Amino acid sequence: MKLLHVKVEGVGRFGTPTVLQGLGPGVNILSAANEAGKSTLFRAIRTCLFERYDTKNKDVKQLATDGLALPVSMTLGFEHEGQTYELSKSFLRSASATLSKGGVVFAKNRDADEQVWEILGIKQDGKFDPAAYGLLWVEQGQSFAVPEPTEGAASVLNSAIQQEVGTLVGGERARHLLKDLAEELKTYLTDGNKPRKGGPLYEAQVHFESIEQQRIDAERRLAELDSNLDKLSGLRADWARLADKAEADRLTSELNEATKLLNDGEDSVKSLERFITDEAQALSLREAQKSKLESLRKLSQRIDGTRRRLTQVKESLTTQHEQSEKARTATAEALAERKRIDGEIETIESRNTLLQRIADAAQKQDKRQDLAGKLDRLVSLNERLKASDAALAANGVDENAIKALDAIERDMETISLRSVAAAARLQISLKQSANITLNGVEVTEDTVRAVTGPMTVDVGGLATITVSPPAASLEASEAALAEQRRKIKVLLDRHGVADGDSLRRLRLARVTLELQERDLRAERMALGIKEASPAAEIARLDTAVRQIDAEMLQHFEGQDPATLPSPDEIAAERSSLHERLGSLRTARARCAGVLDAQNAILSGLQKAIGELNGEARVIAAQLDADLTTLPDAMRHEILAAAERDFEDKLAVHRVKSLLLDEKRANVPTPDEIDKRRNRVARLGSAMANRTASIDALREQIARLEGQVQSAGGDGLGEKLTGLATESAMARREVERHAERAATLQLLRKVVEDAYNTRREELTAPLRRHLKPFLGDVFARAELELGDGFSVSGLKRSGPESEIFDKLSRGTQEQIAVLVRLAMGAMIREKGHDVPIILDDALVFSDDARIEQMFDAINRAGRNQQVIVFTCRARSFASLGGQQLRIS
Amino acid sequence: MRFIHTADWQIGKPFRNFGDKEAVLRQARLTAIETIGKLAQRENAGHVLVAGDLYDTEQPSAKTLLEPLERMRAFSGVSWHVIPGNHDPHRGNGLWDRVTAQGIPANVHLHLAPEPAALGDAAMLLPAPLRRKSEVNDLTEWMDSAATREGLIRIGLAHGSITGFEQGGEANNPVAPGRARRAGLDYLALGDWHRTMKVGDRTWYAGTPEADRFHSQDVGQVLLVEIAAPGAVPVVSPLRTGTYRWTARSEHVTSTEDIDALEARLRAEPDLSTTLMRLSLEGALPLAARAGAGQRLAQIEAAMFWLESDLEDLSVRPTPEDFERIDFQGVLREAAGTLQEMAANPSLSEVERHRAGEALVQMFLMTRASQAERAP
Repeated sequence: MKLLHVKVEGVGRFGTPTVLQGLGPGVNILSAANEAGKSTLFRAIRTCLFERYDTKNKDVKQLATDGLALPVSMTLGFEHEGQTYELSKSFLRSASATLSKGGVVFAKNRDADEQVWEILGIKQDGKFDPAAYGLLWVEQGQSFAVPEPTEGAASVLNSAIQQEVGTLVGGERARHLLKDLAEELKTYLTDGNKPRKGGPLYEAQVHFESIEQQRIDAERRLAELDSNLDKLSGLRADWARLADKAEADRLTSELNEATKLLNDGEDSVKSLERFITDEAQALSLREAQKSKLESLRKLSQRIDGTRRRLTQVKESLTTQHEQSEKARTATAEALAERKRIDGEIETIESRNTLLQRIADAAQKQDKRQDLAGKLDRLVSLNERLKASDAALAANGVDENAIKALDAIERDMETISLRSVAAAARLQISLKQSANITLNGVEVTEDTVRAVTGPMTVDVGGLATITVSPPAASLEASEAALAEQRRKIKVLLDRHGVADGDSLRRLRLARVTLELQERDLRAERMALGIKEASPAAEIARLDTAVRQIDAEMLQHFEGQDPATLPSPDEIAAERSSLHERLGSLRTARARCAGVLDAQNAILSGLQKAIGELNGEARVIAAQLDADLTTLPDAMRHEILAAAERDFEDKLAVHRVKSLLLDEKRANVPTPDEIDKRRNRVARLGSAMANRTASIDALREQIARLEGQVQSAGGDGLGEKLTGLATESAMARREVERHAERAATLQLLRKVVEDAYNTRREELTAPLRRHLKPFLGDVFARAELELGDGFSVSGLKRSGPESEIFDKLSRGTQEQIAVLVRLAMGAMIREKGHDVPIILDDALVFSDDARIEQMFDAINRAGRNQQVIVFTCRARSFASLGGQQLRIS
Repeated sequence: MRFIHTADWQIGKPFRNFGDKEAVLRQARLTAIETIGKLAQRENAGHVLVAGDLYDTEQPSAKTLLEPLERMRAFSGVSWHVIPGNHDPHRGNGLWDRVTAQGIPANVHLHLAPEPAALGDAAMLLPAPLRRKSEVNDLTEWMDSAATREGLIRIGLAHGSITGFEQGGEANNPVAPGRARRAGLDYLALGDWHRTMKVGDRTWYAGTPEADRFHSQDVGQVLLVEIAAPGAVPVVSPLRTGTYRWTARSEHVTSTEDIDALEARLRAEPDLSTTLMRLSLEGALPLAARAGAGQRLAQIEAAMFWLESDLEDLSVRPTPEDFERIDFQGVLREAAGTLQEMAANPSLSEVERHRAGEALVQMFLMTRASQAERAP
């Protein structure tokens, strides 16, 4: 079928008769603005073909032009299988329909409806379905939706496919099975393959975990109970052992025996201590008596010894006194000799001092002459310097004054030179006979002068010519010069001279004075005087001279210097004196040595005598004291009594000692006592421990018995056995459900694989037709088709497929249109030549992609009619094809 | 001298994996005590020797603790002699102290120490009670030196495994095989093994009076022992006491006919309503038969007290008809073929092969159900 023309009246905005012109084979495009009526035309075409002429349904009513009481009229001209038809229908008012072929009406009204459907093959078995038309005519806003064929359309498609590859045998049964499987699997597993909450597998797992937990808990409690029973057995055994009466009696008996043994031992020890005390007292008395006897014996011996010592001391004192007398005599002799030597030494030293003084005086006299000469030169220099300073003070013309004078004179010369340069020139050229004077001076040769002041030229007495410079110039020059002359006068007046030459001469005189001053100062420096004022030095020199004079006067007043010995004589005499003085000093030292030795002897003797006297006094006192205790007359009697007493004490101690030894041999040692004490303590502790242990055990046993009784009473073992069985059953139940789910999954996979393989074969024709169209837009892309020709995914650049619903709207629309084009191509190839109509499609396509889509549309247009309605004239300008017009 | 030898009552044993039948099975064990009491009365046996494991655990509930005591109390003319076994050893403050604390019926005698005890005027009992679950030493050894009055019958009572004999016991509590001879016992009554076993003329395991597991004694029983005089060979007669029969079968099936035959055999079994059976099927069945096996077994199970089917080793061997019932061609037919290949693929694990077979059965069932839905 190909549409040839469309005419409408009373349809939407087309109240008056309107014709869509220009329709032809291939691509047709109607570009018109929004509200131009494109969609109205689309709906009119569909209504004319597929609605009964006498229908009054809502869609048709909506097509009617507002405000006009016209019927909704439309006429379609089309070509089908080589024949030309025209179908005219009026809806709502004056409803009618006519169908003509080759210009001859051959059916009217209802017959026309039926006939046209029969011709187009859209009614089969009494059922109406626009079939391929509905599939390929894409209404505005529907272009991005994947085609969902109606039953009739699917039938058309399947018919086209069956002609090529046959049918999907068992597909319906497989889908049914898969649906049942999915439903059952859904009760077991989630989409993520996890047990579904509330499902049998999940519940079985929960049940198993619960039972298992209970079993573990019961097992733990039973283990605790077992452990407690074991502990209880052990504790009972311990208790039986500890509570054994024979053992208790044995321990008590042992303790009593040990305690008695310890007490006996401790009593023996106490008794021994008394013996020890007695023996110690006897020993002490014996020792005291022994000590007393020994003291008396020593005293007796000491008295004898003291007497002998006293005799010896007295003899020593006599000897010491004799030696002391000898030493005193030697000392007196040495003292006399030393006095004589000292007198001679004093005389020599006095003479030597005099000689020294004379020599000093000669030296000072020489020094005085030098000082006096120096003083004279210094005084003279000082006078000359004072004169020089006075002259310099009087002449103040320094270098600056001369420089100032030179500057003023240079300025005056400059003023004059400028005046001359600016002045007029007076030129006088002489004739031989002329007698000419200038300012009274005869001009003898040709002369040129600058007129810087009035000039008077007398020409041979014939005439007098006076030339004057301009008054202003002359005055300015004179004023400048007068200023400079004033400065000179001020300068000259400051220095008291009349002219510049005098000033320069004064400057020369000052320079000379300054040179003299410098020479005088150099001379003074040569005298060793550095201070600015020499007065102090002069005073110092004068004082030194006077001091020397005073000294000379003091030592040698009234003495003729000529009588004084000469320096050589002084030196000779002083040498002789020095030699003598040395020998005297040696002799004096010898005397001093003798004196020291005798003094030491005397000192030692006196000390010895003192000590001997002291000793003699001490010995005598000791002797007196000892004799008081032990008088000579009673010595033997006292000593004999003391010896007897000692023998008595010795005998008593011997008896006590024997008794002690005897006692000690029968008393336990401290180690033994300690051992007995330890044994008693150990046995006592063992008894106490035993009692405490029995108590503790009794308590533990009671506690454990309580725990055991409590745990055993609730049928724990019985419960555990039951839980173990239940747990195994629950585990088997989980495994059974898991296996059931795995079996269903396996079955689903195997059936799905088989189904998909067959479906791939079934959709192969459509994919074959789709391939060139898809290639126009998506190079090397593959489309995945699902059930009912649905699009499930797009493979573009890899094995992974992109889910169709996740693609961009533009891509979805492009793919949907391409699928329709492919379906159209497939249907046309199998004899159903149905035009493709796209109303305002490709609204989401960018510029690049829309060009590729135009290629695909033109590819479709090569074999079948494609009608495109669009409001985007500019974007669709490059689509090509035939332009349609509304008129 | 006539007495009854029994053991391994294991009162309180849970049967959780039997669902709502648990209570019945527990009750059956108590009923067995009453049966024993009645048998003792009927056979004029004054003593019942319980050779250990009267209780299933050392820590039964208070009710469980009392139940057997009360059953025994009811037979006042019978003396019940009990020793602890490995399930209920005697430990201080343990089970038997609890029993004692509850008050023991006068006709029940606990032998908690290895000490001779008189069985009337004619016999002496030499008990060997267990004090822990597992003993390394032979507790019956003391019987060798236990003196009894001349002319008395010597009867040993112990719980353990005869060393070097068939491994039927639960714990390592050795009993010398020649104990009866060495100790001069006229009879050694043993417990621990749950099936009746004659070790020698004078040494017997009584087995449990009510069976409690598969692959053991089918029906519970006790032994009636008669000893004419000291040194006489005992006359031992097993007497049925059990209510339920525990049996295990393994059947090889390859066809629907085999299933039919199996069903017939099972239905012909005696006392189906008191039979517990573990049925293991192996072999390979067509899909239809395999799918129907479950339903067939469910019907048989309803006729029995308990049927536990194990089909793990039963694989599928689809026939062309099976496949056609799935589909003649197309997707499902291909998928079924794939699953069949997987089920037979030796490179896959046993689990994977079995799963593939189950998936095939599942597919068969689902498609059949789907067809049934679509059928008018």
